[in-house]
Parts: sequence; C-alpha cells; structure tokens
Amino acid sequence: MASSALNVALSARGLTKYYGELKAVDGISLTVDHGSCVALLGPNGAGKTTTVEMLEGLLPPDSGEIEILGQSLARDRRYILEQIGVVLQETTLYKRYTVAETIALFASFYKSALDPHAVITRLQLTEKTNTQLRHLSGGQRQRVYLACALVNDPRILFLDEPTTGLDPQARRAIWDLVTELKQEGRSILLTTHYMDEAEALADRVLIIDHGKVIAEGTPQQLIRDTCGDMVKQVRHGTLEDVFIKLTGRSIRES
Amino acid sequence: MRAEVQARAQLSKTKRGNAFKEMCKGRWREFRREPSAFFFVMFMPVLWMAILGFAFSGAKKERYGVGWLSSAPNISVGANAIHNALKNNPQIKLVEGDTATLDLSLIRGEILIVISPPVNDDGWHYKLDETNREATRARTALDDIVQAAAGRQDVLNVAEDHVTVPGTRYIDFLVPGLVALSIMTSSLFGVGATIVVNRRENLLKRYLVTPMQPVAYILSHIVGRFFILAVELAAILIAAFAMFKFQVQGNLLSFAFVAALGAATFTSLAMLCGSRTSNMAVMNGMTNLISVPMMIVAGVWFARSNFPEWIADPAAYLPLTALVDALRRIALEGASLGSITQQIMILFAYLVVTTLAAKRLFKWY
Repeated sequence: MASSALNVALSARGLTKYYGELKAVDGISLTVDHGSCVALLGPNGAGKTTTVEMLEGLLPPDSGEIEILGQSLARDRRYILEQIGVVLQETTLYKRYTVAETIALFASFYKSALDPHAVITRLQLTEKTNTQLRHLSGGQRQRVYLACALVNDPRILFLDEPTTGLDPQARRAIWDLVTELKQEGRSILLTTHYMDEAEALADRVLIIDHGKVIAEGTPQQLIRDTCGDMVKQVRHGTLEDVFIKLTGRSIRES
Repeated sequence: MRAEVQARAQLSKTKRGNAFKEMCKGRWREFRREPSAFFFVMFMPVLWMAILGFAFSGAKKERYGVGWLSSAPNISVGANAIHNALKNNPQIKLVEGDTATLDLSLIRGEILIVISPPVNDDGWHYKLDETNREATRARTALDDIVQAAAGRQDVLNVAEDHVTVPGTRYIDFLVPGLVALSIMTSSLFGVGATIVVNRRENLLKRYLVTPMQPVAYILSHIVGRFFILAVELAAILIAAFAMFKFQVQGNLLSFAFVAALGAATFTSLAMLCGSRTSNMAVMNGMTNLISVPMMIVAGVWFARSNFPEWIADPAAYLPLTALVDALRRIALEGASLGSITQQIMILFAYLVVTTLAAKRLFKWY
C-alpha cells in the first residue's frame, strides 16, 4: 500500500454531499495516479460537478476525505491551490483584457509562476497576445482559459468539459495539448460529455450516476465487459455504448 | 517538449501582494475600456449641470399658465382692463376657453389656475389646486396683477438688491449635489453590477480555485472606485468652473476627503446589494429601490427644507443626504471638516455597518 500511495496524486475516500434532503454524492471514492488521466462521466445531475467541486476545494464534503499530493485538502488547501490548475465550466474572463493581461493577472496569484509569454507561446496564442478576449474565437478563448490553468506550472489539472462547444479542429488541438501535459507527468481529472474524448485521453474512466460510481476501468475494459455481446454482433463498441447501456436512454435535464 | 523545457527555464518568482496590484490595474483598465462606464461617469453629471445650470441661470422670472374663462356673456369694462393687463404681462401665459377646455388644461398641467370674471355681479373667482406649490405661487402673482389693474396702489416703496456673487447661485447649490449623486450612482451601478456579472459568469468561482486572497478582489474594487472618483470629481469641477465659474469656497482637500468617504460608503453599500445575487434584474431593482428615494429626498436638486418635516428630518440620516450636506457646506460656506462631524459620522457609520454586513453575506458563487 505504501508504494502505491507514492504513485497517487489525488485520492478521495467516501465522499458524500447532501443538498437538503437530496444526497447528491453518495460515497464516491477515486484515485488519480501521477501522470495519468482519469475521466468522470455521467448524465446531467449525476453528481459529477458536485464531486469535482469538492475535489477542487470549492465545496466542503459532508463526509469523506480528500488528499492531494499527499496533503489533506481540508488542512492544506492553500498549499494545494498553488499546485493545481483548473478549467471550470462556463467561465467568462474579462472580455476587455488582452490575452497577455489575462494570463499576467492569473500569474500574479501564485508564489511562483511561469512567464506569461512562455505560456502564450506554448498555447499557440502568440499572434493574439495583445488581442482583447472579446475578439477571440471560442477555441482561442478556451486556450486562454487553459493558459490560465497552466500558468502556475501545476502538477494536477482539473478540466471540466474543456472542449464543450468547440469545433473539431479546436477540440483536437486541446486533446493534443492534454496528451502532452500528461506525458510531462501531470495528473489530470477530466469531466466530459464526449465519450470519444474520454476514450482518447483517459487512462481510466469512472461512470457516475445517482451520486455513485457505477462502473470503473480502462475504456477498453468497460467496452469489453459491458457491451461484449453487442460488439461481436454489430461493430466496434464505443464508450458511448457503455454509457447508454449503464445509464439508460431517458433524457436528463440539467 | 522543447517548449516545456523553455517554459520551465523561464520559471520566475513573483512576490505576494502582486495580485492586488494586478487587480487594481485591471479595475482601471475596465473603466477605461468600457465606453458606457466612461460616458456615465464623465458626461452624465456634466450634462445635467449644463442643462439645469443654463435653464435656471439668468434673470428669467417664472412664467405661469393662466386660464381665462371666456364663457361670460357681457364682460364689464373693469374686467376688460384686467384681461388686458394679464395678456400683456410677460409673467403670465393666458389661455382662453370654456369651463370644459380649461379644466382639461388644468389636468394636463398646461395651466396652473383658472380665473373667472364676475357673472351677474357674483365677484371674481380663482380655481386652483391648493397643494401644488407652483399653483399657489401663480395665484400670488396673478392676484397681484389683477388687484393692480383694478386700481390698488402700493403703500410702501421697496428697493431690491439682487444677489449675484458666486456661492449663492442655483448652480453653486447644484454642483455639490451632482457630485454626491454621481458618487452614489457610479458606485451602486458600477461596482455592484461588476460583482454580479463576475459571479454570474463564474469568474468569482474561478478565483476561489487560485491561492489569491479573496480580500484582494474586494479591496481592488474600492481602490478602483477611488481612481474613478478622481476622474469624475475632476470632470465635474473643471466643467463647472469652465461653464459657470463655480469654485469650492472651502478647502479642496476636505472636499476630496468627504467625496472619498462617500465613495467608500456607497461602494460598500453596492457590495452589500451585490453580495448574493447573480441576477442583474434583481441587482438593478435593489439599487433603484435604494437610490431613487434618496435622490428625491436628499436635496440634490433643491433644498430639503421644501419637504415637510416628517420627511426632511429623518432624511438627514440617509447617506446621500449626509454626503450632499457635507459637500455643500464645504463648497458653499467654506466649512471645515470639524464643523461637519455629524455628516462624517453618519457616512462612517454606514460604511462600517454595510462592510460588516457585506462581509457576512457575501457569496462567491
């Protein structure tokens, strides 16, 4: 156990969260190993966002423990915040700041940060350095958000639906970047609605529904175990088949 | 991978406290780059000043709409003389008509008073709304003309001195009021709205997952408010001097100090209003609920003493009233800070209470 703990970047045990009577998260446990990407999948209202917000320290869990980089989130939140990078869903940064100003603002929050221009170069935003955010395309804006998450050279990244609403080219550009970040040894917790995204990026997938983990494994394992029969009969199974089979076809409202 | 090596090589240490500086720079940037913010802060007060200042300057006397009931069949010679006197008096705008027409004009506010010449020797008759101050002024002016035309002689000879020295004109009264009004509106609608939008767009939440101390965000709004205050004060005072030779009679630093205290108080009030909601409609409703009544009773446009005591007396304890009164005493009477401690204490009390309440209620997302 001791040797495995060294490998673990993030671990959560028995997380629960109530909203009034509703048990939004019901005893979720998960680990993210160093240099790996774990994807959380689940229909709207399954408890994904609540889980991620607890892991990011935005919501205190009603019970359960979270350790990040060997430190307790409850006790050492400030230290942990220096080491993580976050892309939240549906965030709008200041529309009238330029790319460079936005990244410099986020850089100023950390004890040590990368040179904003190095981050801009890395995210291929050099040409847009002095462009205000309101003049950028959706894909470029998303890269700025990623730049803000990378400016402190984080060891763990939380990416909440990082490619929602982007065109295929912009999505692939972000996938390439996330793959690179993983190769550099960073750990990634990814939340997504796109099954192909989870298949392409995740080493392990957790499917969450009704506040519980209902399936866990590598994408291949899940496809084989859940849709084995179907795969033989029809075509290559995908993670989407797994997802629909496990969580049903009824439409969930957010 | 090479880019990464490069990036790590450029890893630089930044000092704490930098976040606050960056945030303050950002506040100024937002103000400068938002054309509507610039317009409301710089031009609205100056526009008001120009319109009202020119409208009420000069020796122009008030002019009253008077209705002359012309249904009377056989009009006497005396009545004819009065009719002519009214018709030729520049202070009176005479409208003639029957009862129905004049009543309608009265309702529409086109005339303030109806005068009926005697029918069958039953005497002259005025018809007006006693509760309308302008109508009662119109009656005084009208009656004066009517009596004089009927042959009344003045008993006393009275000489008049007309006051025109700076510091006593309507514009002198108006400018400190506009400064206070501008401080209130740009705090409530500027700072409050920014916080609500930042919350709605998840930016406040994004800040919480960085090590930035949330207080830096709050303080930056207060400092940013002072930048804007400097701009709006300069705009109003320079425009007032250029157009009307307006000058602050007292110490300019005292004036700036009170303005800054007012800005801090209203910024804090704005934060309290914007402490929980992420809905702009709620925010606008709340700020209007606070600002509109104060705008009316605080004595921005005319002296508060025009209101009945049961409004004027409690109104003295409103923050806008305290700010207007303090600025006016410094600007018009040359008062020192020591002589306006009541107003300063009122503003300070609001500042402390709203800050504590906002701190307690503030929700980041």
